[in-house]
Formats: sequence, structure tokens, C-alpha cells
Amino acid sequence: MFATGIENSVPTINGGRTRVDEMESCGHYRHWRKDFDCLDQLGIRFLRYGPPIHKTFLGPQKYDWEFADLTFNELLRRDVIPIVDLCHFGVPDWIGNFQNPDFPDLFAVYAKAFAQRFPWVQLYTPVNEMFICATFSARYGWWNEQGTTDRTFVTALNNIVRANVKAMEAILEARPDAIFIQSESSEYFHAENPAAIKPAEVYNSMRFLTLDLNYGHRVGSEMYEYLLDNGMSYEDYHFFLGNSLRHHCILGNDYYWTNEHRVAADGSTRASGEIFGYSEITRQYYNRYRLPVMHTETNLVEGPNGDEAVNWLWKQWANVLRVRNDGVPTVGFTWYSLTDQVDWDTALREQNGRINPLGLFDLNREIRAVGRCYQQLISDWATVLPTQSVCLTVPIVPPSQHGAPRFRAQNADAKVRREAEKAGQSD
Amino acid sequence: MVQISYSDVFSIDHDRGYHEEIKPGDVVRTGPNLFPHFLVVAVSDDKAWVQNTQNGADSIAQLSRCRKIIHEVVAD
Repeated sequence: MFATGIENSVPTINGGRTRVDEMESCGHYRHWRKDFDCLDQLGIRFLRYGPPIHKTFLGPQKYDWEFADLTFNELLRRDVIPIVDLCHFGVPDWIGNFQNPDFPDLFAVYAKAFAQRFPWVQLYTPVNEMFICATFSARYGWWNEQGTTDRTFVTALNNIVRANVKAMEAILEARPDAIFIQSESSEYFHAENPAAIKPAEVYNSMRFLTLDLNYGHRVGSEMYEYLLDNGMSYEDYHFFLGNSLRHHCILGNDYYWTNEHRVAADGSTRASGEIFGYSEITRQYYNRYRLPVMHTETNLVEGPNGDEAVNWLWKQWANVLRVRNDGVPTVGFTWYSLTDQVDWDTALREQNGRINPLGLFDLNREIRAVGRCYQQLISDWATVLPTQSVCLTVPIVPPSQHGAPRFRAQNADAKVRREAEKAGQSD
Repeated sequence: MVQISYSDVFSIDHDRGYHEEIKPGDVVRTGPNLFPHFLVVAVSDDKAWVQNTQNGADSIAQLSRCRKIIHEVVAD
């Protein structure tokens, strides 16, 4: 799967008074048809994409599907396979923020409503980058609730991951053969000196929390104490252990130049730049979860030489091949995003209107050098088996094939299996 | 020494392909796309010392890749 995405971050800032909307900033509401044309130009069939939750989910059981109907029907017509991202760093105003304990149940209902409206959609990322969402919203104080304590962080983690799990359950009721591709940042924390080893170890345990909970993987004893000391109950924790849907999941991980950090003795962190790189860090995540892997986000801004992003694309692709050749089932790669973004140089904390030149196309929808390279890379590598075996393929139903007898049978089989899972008869 | 680039693998030429005199004080792009924009601080042989107009970062760019921004092209 060679993919890209249309950036749809919608956090609030300024104490909830200002809504950031990257689809608006990047012109997608006006140029969505042109954006889909750009996919055709590159030969991309997989698109990370989702409706803007704050404009679609208007209240309990109340939805405005107008824009989603327009865009998703066009994707269906073009036979583009969306990986649907339902919550990208923000919630509707009426829900408030990620401290709201009602969010998981409300979100699950929304996810099911989407899946019922668009039954041909099979691939989902219910909540995007759960770790980043919780960290920026509830530990760094940047977005949404702007919390800065361990308690706000654990509350956000609990609500965000619970929302993701409940949404997966709800989607499976509508589409039993749905596949969930997490898109989670892959991080590593390097100790600057021996006195920093302990805090670095803590951070290196903490980075797994969202996926541990999502996959029902038991956390380490230190993290268990951390969660319970900061508001997670024994029942909360066992909800996650008892509701694992990991066998429906692909371990999607994101890697940027900023994903590795240096840790000082006092626990403070700063960016280290790329030290281990994608392949080493992905191996760490794979060894923990043993799930098929997809590189779900990367990019780099174009700089004064014009080829910085080109070189980064090649490097990431070489890392993906390294992981694959080491025997990790690797099913996809993503350059994120289709177009340039706006204001990510301040992590969306300020609305300066600064264009971040990291897309496959610029905001005039003119192709960039990295876009031309990705087009060629896709053309060159499309026929190479990602997992090195015809027996290991992702059972994807193209939109145009939804309803065909073979795929109706796949869905029926999945439904039987899901019922058995729910009855506790299989893992 | 010529810095290697994977643009070679994809046969991508970043040079502007037409004659243009670039002088200190010009605002330029170093590729065909809208952004980033750079202020030319100094020129020496085939190199330009440029400063990113958004974040102030200094860099050395190939002069042959610089394109003057005559009038601002803004994405609608």
C-alpha cells in the first residue's frame, strides 16, 4: 500500500476559543476535487482521510454528512481506498475536550454511524496518533484542554484509547471485516549521561502506553503504578486487557526527524534529530506487539537545495525495506501529506499562516520534486511483494468490489468470526 | 566535491533552466514551487548565501537553482 493523506488536524487552542482546521488552511474544502486529481496523477490508491469531526458530529445522534457524502462518493467513484481517520487531534465544541469521560461512548456511536453510512469503507484509523494527542493536549498544555499534569495526561490517555477501542468494536458491528491501521508516533528517548538513564527509561516505557492499552498488552510495573497513581482505576485498566482487538489491527507508525529526543538528568527533553532512525525504532515496536507494520506518516520540508525532501523520502523507503528484509511483515508506506501544511512549525499552537513546504504538492496543487519522486518510486516498486509472500496479503476489498459475491462471503465469514470472538470462543 | 542526492535516481533536475541574474537583496525560491522563500544575503561564484524569510535560517544554495520572485504568487 503506497499512501498519502489529506491533513485534517482540528485541535482547539487559546483555551478552546480558537479552532484550528487544517483542511481549511490548506484549501481542501475548496479544492477537494483537485486534490483527488492529484492522487490520480501520482498513481496513489490509498488515502488517509476523514471528515472534519467538528463540522460533521453536531450532537448526540446528530450529523451533517453533506461534505462527507460529496467527498467519499467521489472516492468511491474513483475506486480510491480510504483509510478513514475519524478523530484527528480534536473533538466538537459540544464535547469539549479529551477530559470528558463521555467522549468514548459518544465517539463510538459516531464511528458506527459513519460505518453504516459508508459500508464500502474497510480501513480505519479511528483516533489518529493517540500518544501525541494526549501529550500535546494534556501534558504539554498546547491543545484542547491544555492540561499540564500527570493526572490530566492519564485521563486523556484513558479516554482517547477507550474511544479508539470502542470505535473499533462499533465499526466491526457494521463492517465485520474492517481493518484498523493505527497511526501512532514511534519515539525514542536517548539519555544524555548516566544520570539521565532513569528518566529516559521512564519515557521509553511511557511511549508504549497508548498502544499497550489499545492492544491489551500488559504495561510494566512502573507504568502500572503511574497509571493508577494518576487516576486510572483497576477496572479501567482491565477494560483494556479484556477488549483487545489486536488481531484486526495493523501497527501503523509515524516517523519524523523530531521523533527522537535527548533526555537530561533533570528529565527535561529536547530534539535529538535522527539517531536510530525508522528501522531500529520500528523493530522495537514490532518486537513488543508482533503485528503487521505500516509506515503511516513521514515528511520533511523542502529547503534551500530543493532535494532535502527527496533524500528523506529515499531514506525512509530504504528503512522500510530494511525492516521488511529483516522479516517484519511490512504492508505499506505513506508520505504525509498530499499538500503542504500550514503552521505545523509551531505544532499548530499559533495561527501565523506560515506554509510548511512538505507536501507532495504545494498549495497551488503544483507537484513538488518529492511528489515526482514518490510517483516514480510507486511505479518502480508497485509489483514488489511487501511481505515477500503471496500468502501474506492484506485482505482488502476495493470500493468497486464491495458487494461482489467473493467479498460478501469474506464479510459473512468475518461476521461469524466476530460473533465467536465476542462469545469468548477464540482469540 | 559534488554533494550527492537521490534526485539522480529519479532523474530530477533542480536547476531553473533559464538565465537570470541573482543579486544580494533579491527574494528567491530555490525550486519551481511556491515556498519556501529566501532572501539572498550574498553571492559568490555558483553559490548564494540565503536566509529563509519565515524562520531566518541561513543556508548556502546553488545559484543555478534560485528563481527570483517577481510578484508574490499566493495560493487562493
